[in-house]
Amino acid sequence: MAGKTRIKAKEKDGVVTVMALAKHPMHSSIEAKKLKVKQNFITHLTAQVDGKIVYEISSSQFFSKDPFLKFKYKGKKGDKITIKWVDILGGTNSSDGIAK
Amino acid sequence: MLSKMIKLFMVLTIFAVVSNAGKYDKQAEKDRKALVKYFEAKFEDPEKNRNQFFPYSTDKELKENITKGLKHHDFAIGNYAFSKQGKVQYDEIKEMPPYEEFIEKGEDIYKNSEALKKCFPDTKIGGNYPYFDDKTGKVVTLSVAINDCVVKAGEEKLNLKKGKITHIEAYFADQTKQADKNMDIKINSKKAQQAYERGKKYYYSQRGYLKLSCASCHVQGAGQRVRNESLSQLLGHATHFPVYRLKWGAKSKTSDGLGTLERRMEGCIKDEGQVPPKADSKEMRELLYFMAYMSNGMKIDGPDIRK
Amino acid sequence: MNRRNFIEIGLGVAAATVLPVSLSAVDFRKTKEKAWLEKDVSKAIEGLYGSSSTTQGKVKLKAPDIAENGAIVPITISSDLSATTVSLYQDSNPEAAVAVWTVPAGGVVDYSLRIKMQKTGTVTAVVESDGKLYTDKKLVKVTKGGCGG
Repeated sequence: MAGKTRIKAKEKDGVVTVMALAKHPMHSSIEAKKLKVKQNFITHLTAQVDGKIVYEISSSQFFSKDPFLKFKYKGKKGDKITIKWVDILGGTNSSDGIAK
Repeated sequence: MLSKMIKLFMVLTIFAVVSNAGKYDKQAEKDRKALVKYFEAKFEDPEKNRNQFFPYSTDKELKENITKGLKHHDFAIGNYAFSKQGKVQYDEIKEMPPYEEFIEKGEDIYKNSEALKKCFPDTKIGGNYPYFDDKTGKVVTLSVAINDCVVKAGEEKLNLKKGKITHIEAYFADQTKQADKNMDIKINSKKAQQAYERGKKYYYSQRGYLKLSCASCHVQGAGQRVRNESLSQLLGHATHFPVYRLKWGAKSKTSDGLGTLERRMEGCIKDEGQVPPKADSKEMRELLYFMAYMSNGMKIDGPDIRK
Repeated sequence: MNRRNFIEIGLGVAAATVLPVSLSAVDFRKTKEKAWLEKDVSKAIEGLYGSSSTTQGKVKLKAPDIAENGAIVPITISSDLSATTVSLYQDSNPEAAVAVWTVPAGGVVDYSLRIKMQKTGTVTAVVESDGKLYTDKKLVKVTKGGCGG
């Protein structure tokens, strides 16, 4: 149902910089009213490596459509980064990326 | 003796053909080089040359927000070439631009279409369009070429401004960019030269209730502002299509904020206060032919982000 | 404004707790539901942290002077502080709270995102460190601009 999250991750000097572009309409209430759809937006998103959470955000309707997130964490090349989110209507998505 | 004469004849013929080919784009080359010189002079030192080029700009903005010393290839990125505060946002969004998924979609469409693979065996053709087709006597833009290709194969015709065609163009543009190719428009016949001249005339003609020509804003006005809009320069205008416009992306349901050069020009001409020529009309094609030629020698860098 | 809608949505969220437990470490939308409804920035901060008294400094908020488009405003929050949470607010949209980050132990505070703003407004970033709140803010101008099309 949900599109996958695009993930780009690069390691340098022990710090991995991750850029992610999730696929989601992120309607503001005004937009939802205009489009005549049920308002939907991601409410919570985490990035995990080896079962440990390296990034966590509680979000709102005020993110841009197809939310972009960039963050850093202390890690290494080859790390498998799993980004999971849940939205206000109960939709979910889990996508993976590898730190290069 | 005879073989020597044949060889000499061949050499002379080739020479004649080559030099003939060179003569049809002579004026266009002059125009293009003059344009490059103009913009380089304009942006060399805006603060110093304000009276000549920027009579309405404030001291503050000339000092703080306009980049100086711009050269030919810097102009490919539109008004981000000189507008500092716009460039910061451009760089940030380019870190992970929203159009990447559409390049992949375009690749998918191409690889699954026998017709497209046959019409475009080489995908690195972003810099070769528009071209003048001597057989039909018409300018052919990339949008027209793609649509003609699929229609001939019995598929449904495409909208020349948005949607599926932009995904295909995004793929071609990206392939061309990765191969490091430049805009390389040719004028190889008298008819082609005349088409170029008509496109040029359209560009420089005043129209609409505001009596603006394209050049009013994008040659003379480039670097200045209309309220908050920094006017971009003609040089480099055609290199980055299909373009992802933030304002199209904001209103599109499919997140697909992409548009062809035809789509962009339509909006521009509407702003001049005139009903724009249709996307595959002679006027539109020849206008694009002229515009693309002016960007000859510049790298193809589509798709790209604009406001 | 949309309180009614929001409360309906709130019920939706409660139902969603059936979802994968591994997802939630701290979901502020659930633990601090009221804070997300606040229209006033300082009330939203108070709703989240119990206090709205903040110190300016030690946090850097990067945002454009004039947004190219109000639908995509790039924001970056960075700080060298050892933080527990980071949050972002704005005063141009109906509700003030935009995002709350839970910073993992030893985490780097260098977060970027793209937000939407209806009109010109001030964006405020708060970093919670050692029980204190540090803040930075920036005025972002938003126009209905863009020639053509």
